[in-house]
Amino acid sequence: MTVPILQVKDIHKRFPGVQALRGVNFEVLPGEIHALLGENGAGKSTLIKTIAGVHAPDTGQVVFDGKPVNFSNPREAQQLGIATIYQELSLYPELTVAENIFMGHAPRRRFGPFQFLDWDAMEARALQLLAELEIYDMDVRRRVGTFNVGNRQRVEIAKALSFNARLLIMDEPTAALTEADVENLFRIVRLLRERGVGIIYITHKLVEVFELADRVTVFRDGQYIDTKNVSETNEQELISMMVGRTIENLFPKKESEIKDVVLEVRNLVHGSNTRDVSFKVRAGEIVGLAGLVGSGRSETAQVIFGVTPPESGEILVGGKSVKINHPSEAVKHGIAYVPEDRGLQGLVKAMNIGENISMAVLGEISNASFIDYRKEDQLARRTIDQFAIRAYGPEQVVNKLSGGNQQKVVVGKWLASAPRILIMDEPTRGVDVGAKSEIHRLMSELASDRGLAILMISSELPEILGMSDRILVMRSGQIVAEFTREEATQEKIGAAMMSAGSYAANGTGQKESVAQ
Amino acid sequence: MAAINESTQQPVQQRNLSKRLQDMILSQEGILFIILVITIIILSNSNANFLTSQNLFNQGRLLAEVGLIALPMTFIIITGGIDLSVGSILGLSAILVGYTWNNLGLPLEAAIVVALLVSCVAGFLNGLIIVRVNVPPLIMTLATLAFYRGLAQGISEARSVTGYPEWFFGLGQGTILGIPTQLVILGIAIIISGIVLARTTFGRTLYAIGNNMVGARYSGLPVERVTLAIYTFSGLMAGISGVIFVSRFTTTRSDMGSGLELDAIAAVVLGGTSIFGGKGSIIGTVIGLVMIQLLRNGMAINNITSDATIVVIGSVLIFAILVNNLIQRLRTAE
Amino acid sequence: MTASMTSAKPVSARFSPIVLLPLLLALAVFIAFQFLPFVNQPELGATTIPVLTESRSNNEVGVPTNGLILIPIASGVLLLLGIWNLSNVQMIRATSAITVLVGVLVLEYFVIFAMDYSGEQSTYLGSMGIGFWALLILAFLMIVQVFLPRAAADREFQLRSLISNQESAIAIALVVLILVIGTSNPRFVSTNNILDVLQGNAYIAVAAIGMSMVIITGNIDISVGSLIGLLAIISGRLVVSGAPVWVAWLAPLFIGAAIGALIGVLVAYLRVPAIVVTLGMFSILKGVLIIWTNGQRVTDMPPDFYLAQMRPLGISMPIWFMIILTILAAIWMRYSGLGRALYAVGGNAEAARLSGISQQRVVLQVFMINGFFAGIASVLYATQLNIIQATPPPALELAIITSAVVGGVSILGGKGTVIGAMLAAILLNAIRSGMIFINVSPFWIQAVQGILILVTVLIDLLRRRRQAV
Repeated sequence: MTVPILQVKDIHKRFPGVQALRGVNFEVLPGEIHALLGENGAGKSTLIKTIAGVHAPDTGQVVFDGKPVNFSNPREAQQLGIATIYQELSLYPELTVAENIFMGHAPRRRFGPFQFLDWDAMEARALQLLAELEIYDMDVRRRVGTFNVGNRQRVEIAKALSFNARLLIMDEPTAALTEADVENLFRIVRLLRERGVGIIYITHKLVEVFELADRVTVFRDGQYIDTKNVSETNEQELISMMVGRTIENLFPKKESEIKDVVLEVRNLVHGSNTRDVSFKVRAGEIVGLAGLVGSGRSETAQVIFGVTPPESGEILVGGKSVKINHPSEAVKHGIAYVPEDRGLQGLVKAMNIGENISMAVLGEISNASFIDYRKEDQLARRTIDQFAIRAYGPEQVVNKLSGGNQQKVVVGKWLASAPRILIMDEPTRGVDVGAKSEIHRLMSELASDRGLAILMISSELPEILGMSDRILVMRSGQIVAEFTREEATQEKIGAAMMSAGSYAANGTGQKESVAQ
Repeated sequence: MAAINESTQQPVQQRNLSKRLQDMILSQEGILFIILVITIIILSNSNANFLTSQNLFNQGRLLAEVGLIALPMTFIIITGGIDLSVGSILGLSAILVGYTWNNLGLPLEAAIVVALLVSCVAGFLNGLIIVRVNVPPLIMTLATLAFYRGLAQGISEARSVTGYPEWFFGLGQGTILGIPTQLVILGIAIIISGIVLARTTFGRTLYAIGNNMVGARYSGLPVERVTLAIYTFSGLMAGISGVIFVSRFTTTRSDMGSGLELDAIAAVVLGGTSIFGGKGSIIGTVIGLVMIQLLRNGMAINNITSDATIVVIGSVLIFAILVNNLIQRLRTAE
Repeated sequence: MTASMTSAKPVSARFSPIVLLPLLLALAVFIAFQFLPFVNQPELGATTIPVLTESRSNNEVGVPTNGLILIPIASGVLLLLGIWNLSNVQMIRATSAITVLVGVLVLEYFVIFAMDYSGEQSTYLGSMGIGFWALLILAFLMIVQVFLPRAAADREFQLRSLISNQESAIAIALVVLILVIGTSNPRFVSTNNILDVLQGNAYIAVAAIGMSMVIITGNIDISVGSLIGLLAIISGRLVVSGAPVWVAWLAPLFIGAAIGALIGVLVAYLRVPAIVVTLGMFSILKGVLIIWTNGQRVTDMPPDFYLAQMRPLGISMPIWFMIILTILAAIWMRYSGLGRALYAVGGNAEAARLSGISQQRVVLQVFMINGFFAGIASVLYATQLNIIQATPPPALELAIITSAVVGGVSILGGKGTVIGAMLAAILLNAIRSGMIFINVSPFWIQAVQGILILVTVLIDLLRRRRQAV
């Protein structure tokens, strides 16, 4: 029985307004890839930050390598051998690879009474560390900012290596990677496993769990649910652990009459994330847009919405070609976008519910630019009632609301603009299950009763399957597959998301590398 | 650069009357106002000349030049930006009045119009590059501070212009219904700015930008247009202030307005506007303006040199921010 | 056995004696140099060199037939070895850099003193020859590369990487400016004028060293002009009231550092934005200065106070300070922990925190260093004339910031070098001087400064945007 490299015992952690972790127990063995699965807000981030020394637990204990530890800052954890790679890589774009790897603990030389940085040793060691990861073609004297995300991530891993880490924590590492980079990452992670490093691998992609991990632990609402050997479980079981109920109840999509095309995009191009995209959305229809992170879905939505106007291509609303260069123009044409990043793109957190709800329709609640506060108040109250937003009034600052209620405010804001086309980007991410099904019910009603054309971007396949009338799959900036509700299955969609071409009869898809 | 207001009961624009009153008294503006009243009482007791209309009107004249600039500065700082070039635009405007009238022979009215137009363009240029190229306002206006001042110096070659017609001096030295002209202009500007900030969609947009520019843009607010507008407005006000300055001073010099940005920013920050953006009011700025002018006046009356007052202003500025930070941190702890 | 991620021991840089060869050679040349009579000539470009007249030939370039020929050969070898060192990873780069510099200097001296001038029309440029300038700039660029990370080039030393950075761009701009204005008005490139150009902004360049460091950490200091003015007066008053000269020279350094510490505490620990603190400090210091001096300047300082008027080896002191301090600072920023921490804090404060770098301490220290350099600059400023004015030159801080920003120190933080700042300070003065020589009113210099800042910032931003996200 090997001694776990890490043990987490009965950890509780509370932040103002939310209990992030409740009585969590968790362990990692050396030489194991242990996946951590759970929805946003389930507590994974908080847990790893506690392990990494960013937060101190309220109660409970962290035991590393058999000894209880009490970190007062992340650096202590780092020096003991716990390395963390967050999604937002912590690198210095203007400095070289070697310097990034060794910042803060660079090799030095003595010269009389002076001690100075030994650049040659630094670069030699950096090359060595990269070689251990079987990376031989990286110029360590190059500025990190000129590398793409995949390479930068490799620098981060080399950085972790430089601390002789024995526990490596990776938070959604494949979120922004191309396929080739993902392959490379897996190779490196397996290499590290063979070296005896314990790896905590956080992901929301079931595919990766089954491809990479030895064991998987599921979190839900800050609580530890269960740990399973990957070989002894399946997707269905994991999903139900994550979500807490079977799939069927969650997605009450009503039948609706699908009418004319309201939104059409033709050959839309913007950068490398939107490469010749064309599709149609009809009134009363919910079109699900599936794809891996980085496939260009949000970016394409933002092109349509005018945040990043298209370089070429056409957008047609109600059959008429329109030019959209700014979100304000999109709103005028009846397009609404409920964004992926609620906090940054969806709300102004310091303002209250009323001010947020009216933000897209200021023109309507004002007379000659003068805000009519009564109208604003009425709108806010109506919206709060309609969406059952849990708050004590329109004057409550949205910062304090839960994820689900915040999302309702954002949706309410956009519905107030009476759109014809509603684009919802990850509409139920970070939302508790109750609010989730409310939002789904709402979407369904909007399509069937109000005849909205809805484009729903989601990374949750069950949601896509349950809610969509039609499903489009995007990969590397292009639409690679289209399925109707009847013919779609998780496997087909998953296959399309990961490889070009359609699902082959024998159940395998070819993987191909993507030019960077 | 957003100031996240953590308290649950404090929206940035308030409507409910009784809550409004309560928060008003306890806010930075309220406290400052109380200090202001106390200061006025002390000053009027210590020196008989203080509360005379002559003294007050004189102070009003001086205050107006900074005041006109401090109003758009409030808008700009609320959006999280800053405009360091206002002093230089003032100088440029002053020079242009002199140059076009004296060297180019334009009628004085036309000269004034030219100066104001150029000031608008100057502000517009600031806004344009800030919006289009995403240059941080700090460095952009620092560069234009040099550039516009440089233009002023280059055009004027450090020569001053005098000999303006009598009617011109009415602007800076005359009165309307017994109140100094520039004070009247300032008063009108204050009322308009105050209403725009507190009650219009434009004002709401400013607060939104200051708290979360991305969120504001994604909500369809015309972020770029509004930003362009406030920097242009800042240029225009600096231009008007420059014309008034010349009228009051009776000559044109190329170093006019140097350092005025400091006074304006100090007034705005003292009045409760957060340097990080998202929070602030015109009333606060007005109180801050009066406060600073009072300080100057008070010291002058008590025979402290005017140069010493800039020490005080500078200290006041730093102190004001410290207090502001402290208040925000206390509020967060609630 | 504990599992770990690496198994090898750290590799130390190979230190072979051949590294010392260029340095020894440089030393030998320099010593030989010392004992040759013409080194004692105070005037650069002097025409009477008795040692050489015996071997003078009829054309302008007198090729000596005595042992003096060794000097250019040795310096040439030195230069080449140094250049080779730079491109070879194994050599210690600082040594190589110094070698190159010494080689160039020796070569320069040889060229100056060994050539014969005929008449007064000969100009610095003419007597040097284009080749000399090319060599000088090339050597300089190579030294600069030592301190810069590469953008995106392969491991081999590429000529293109020489010019792809701001520092090189400025050096080239400088040369172009000298050539252009020099051809239209040869007096621009006369010895005296070139030295003037180098010297005029020397104290600004020194102050720009500290300012560059502050800007690299992502802060700014717009009070440094008033600080220099104040410290200059303090220095003057100290010496006039009887303090020993060295006290008057050193006191401003420490007072400057102390005021810098005050600013640093406000910015780093009390979280007041640097722009605001220094905006306030600007007027506080200015006011204190006015109150204290009452508008009176300081005069009648003892003759050995005038540091800036000394001319060791015929080159005025401010130029020495500028070049030596810049090089030392560049080396420090490259090879010391705190020096790199500046880049870390300015480049990604969060990551720096995780690397164990205390942002507060770094910011505090950088403002102290800035005050220290402002002190040095103030002494140079105070001693350059026989009187110290009651107010510093107007827009001094702007000139300092312009030097830093135009020199490549990005206002967004995390990038730039002090060498670039020094070159930019020289360039700015060259532009100002050049404007006079081509009859453009010097009053436009501030407008030019503003445009230069703008253009530099725009280019920097566009460059950043084009990079991988």
